[in-house]
Amino acid sequence: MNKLATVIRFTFWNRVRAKSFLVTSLIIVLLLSVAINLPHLISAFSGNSGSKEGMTIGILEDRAGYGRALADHLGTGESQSLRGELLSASSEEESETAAKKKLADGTIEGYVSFGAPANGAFPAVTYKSESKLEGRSLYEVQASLEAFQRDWVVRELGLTPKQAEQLKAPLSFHPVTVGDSGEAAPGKTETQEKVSYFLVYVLIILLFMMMTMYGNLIATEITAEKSSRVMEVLISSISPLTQMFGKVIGMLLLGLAQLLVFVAAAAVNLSVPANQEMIASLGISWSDLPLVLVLYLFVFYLTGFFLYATIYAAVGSLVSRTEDLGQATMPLTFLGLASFYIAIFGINNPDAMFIRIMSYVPFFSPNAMFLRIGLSHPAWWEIALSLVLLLASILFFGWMSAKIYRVGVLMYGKRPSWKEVNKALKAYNG
Amino acid sequence: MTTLQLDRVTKQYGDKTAVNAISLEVRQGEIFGLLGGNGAGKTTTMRMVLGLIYPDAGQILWKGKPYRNELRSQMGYLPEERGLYPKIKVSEQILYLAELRGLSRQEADRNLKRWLDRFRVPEYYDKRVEELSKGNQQKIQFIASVIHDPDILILDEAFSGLDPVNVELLKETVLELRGEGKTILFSSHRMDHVEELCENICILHRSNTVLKGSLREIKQSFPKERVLLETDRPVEGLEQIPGVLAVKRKENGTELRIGSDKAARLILETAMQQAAVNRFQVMEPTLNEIFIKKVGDPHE
Repeated sequence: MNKLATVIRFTFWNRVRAKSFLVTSLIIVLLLSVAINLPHLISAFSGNSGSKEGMTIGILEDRAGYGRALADHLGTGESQSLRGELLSASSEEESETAAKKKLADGTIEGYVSFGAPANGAFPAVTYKSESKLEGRSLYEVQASLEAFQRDWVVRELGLTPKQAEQLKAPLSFHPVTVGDSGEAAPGKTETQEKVSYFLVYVLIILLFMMMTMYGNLIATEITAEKSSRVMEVLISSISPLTQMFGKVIGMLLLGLAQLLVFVAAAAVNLSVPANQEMIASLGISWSDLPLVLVLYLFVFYLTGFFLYATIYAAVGSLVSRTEDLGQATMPLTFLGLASFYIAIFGINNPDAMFIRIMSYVPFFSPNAMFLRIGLSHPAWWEIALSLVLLLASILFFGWMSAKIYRVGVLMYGKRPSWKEVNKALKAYNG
Repeated sequence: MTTLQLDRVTKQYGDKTAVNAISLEVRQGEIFGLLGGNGAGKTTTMRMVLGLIYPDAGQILWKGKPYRNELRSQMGYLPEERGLYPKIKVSEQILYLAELRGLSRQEADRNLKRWLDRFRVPEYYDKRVEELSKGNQQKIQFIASVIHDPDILILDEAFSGLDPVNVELLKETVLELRGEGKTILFSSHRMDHVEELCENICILHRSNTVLKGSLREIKQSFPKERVLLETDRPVEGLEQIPGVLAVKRKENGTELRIGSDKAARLILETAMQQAAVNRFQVMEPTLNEIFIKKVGDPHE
């Protein structure tokens, strides 16, 4: 136990002190900060230039009078940010030429023209501009036009103001999910759903990132120890098992420490007032953070990490040169990728049969099961079964890996084939 | 007292026999020479002695008992190839290895400083291994194998990569450790080192033991085939003496190969008739010659 602690400490500190680790952590912290601040930065930049000056669009006059009415509608100032300028001329061609000229001058951003009204229906509207309408501007133009259309139709139908008001009233809609057991399990509120969604994303990305990063790190270190022959000295001092699990646990702790740094960086960034507003506007509040879900996040992160890490260790033990490592860990990388994509697919279909099945398959279950817990309502026994299977497979693969490891670390030369490994394993037993 | 006892130990890898029924005994305070060409089974034997792999047949006894975990802190190992972390400071990795062998950090630190002083390189304490020359890395490797004061020491090519001054330094150290009562299993390609250090040897060839026993007895059992002759002026007609197989004239004298003891006397007589003899010696075969005879070229 004492020696296990020694291995863990050595693994941990050597990496913490390594420049590469510091640099990587710093880069990720920077990226994280940028990513968190990006939404309010973008709105700060585009929002200022867009909303203060507003936007002027040209309106071609047409015979039916839609154009003039729209110009009046925009002029009455329901939306000050969008102004309309009526371009009247004797013919449609002429007014279009005038519009194009104004467009070139930059006095208008674009112009709308109304098509011919068919059977009394509202005519099609065309918007022409130099650059593509995007984001907020598109939304604004479209919304203004829709409001105009509604007013027009209301007037045409001759509705009373009260009737018009009723028509405009938005639907009061409250989506709430309920548990399988009906009333007993309180359904998740909308903000809780959002937080769950967020946590599921966090786990999927985290597990994939950390697993690939640290799995490869474990394999690389073991191969390096092997190729520098420190391994022979190490395993003559302690049992290969202690060495392997010490390394895996050391890396696990290192990963957790790094995570802590990331979480701290994220927390600092999120506490910036601008970001607080952003979060509030999304309707998320931290008091909605379901603690049970955070607990599950930890459980599935740790089990998932451990499962992959031990196998990475075994693969690392089979390779004698770091150059061969990439090829050897390829299948594991694919497994990780598969787990990642299964989860990404599952986010939108947490109840799909495929995801249900995957939530019991050890290599995919950390992601798939957590996703179901977060976004759906699996029964307790389903969660328990998934965890039991996961733990059992950790034991099995840990045992397998340990066996491979003991033999692998002493095998040199070319990368051994499975047949050779199998043979060596048998020889070891005898 | 026999510290290390191998009894018909066999190890197979698949269909290939790596070590075939090797038996040897090493007493406390003895340096035992394990010799053999590349791929003869030396490393496999050492790994079995270290408990890294188990024999398929036969048994190994350490201090009269089978393998147990506490042996790990009582054995020291110097692997044939460098076994150090290249990018980690000397002090850090030696202390780590010592801790794994069951030493406390303070004790390990004291021992490390003592050893560095002794090898006259105290400034390496804070250096990274990759900054050191090959010979100095070997010194650090040696320290790694003795830092925990082991009873059983396994040295695989301990002197490789060292200059003559450092070879002497390490040789002295090894002899001193023997004096302290350590049991040492020693392998080398350099037969002169083995001759200087070992009392008993075992020569392996293609997994089999070809020669085993006390070095002196082995040497005596081989015929004396070499005669060294130094005279004040050249001696004629040596080739015609019956029993002389070859004559090699060198700067400092003549070396002759003989087929029988009688030839030696005839050589001396012939020489004395023609010149004053400064030196006449019937040479024992060197270990190098014995090895080549038994195994072929050791540096294949």
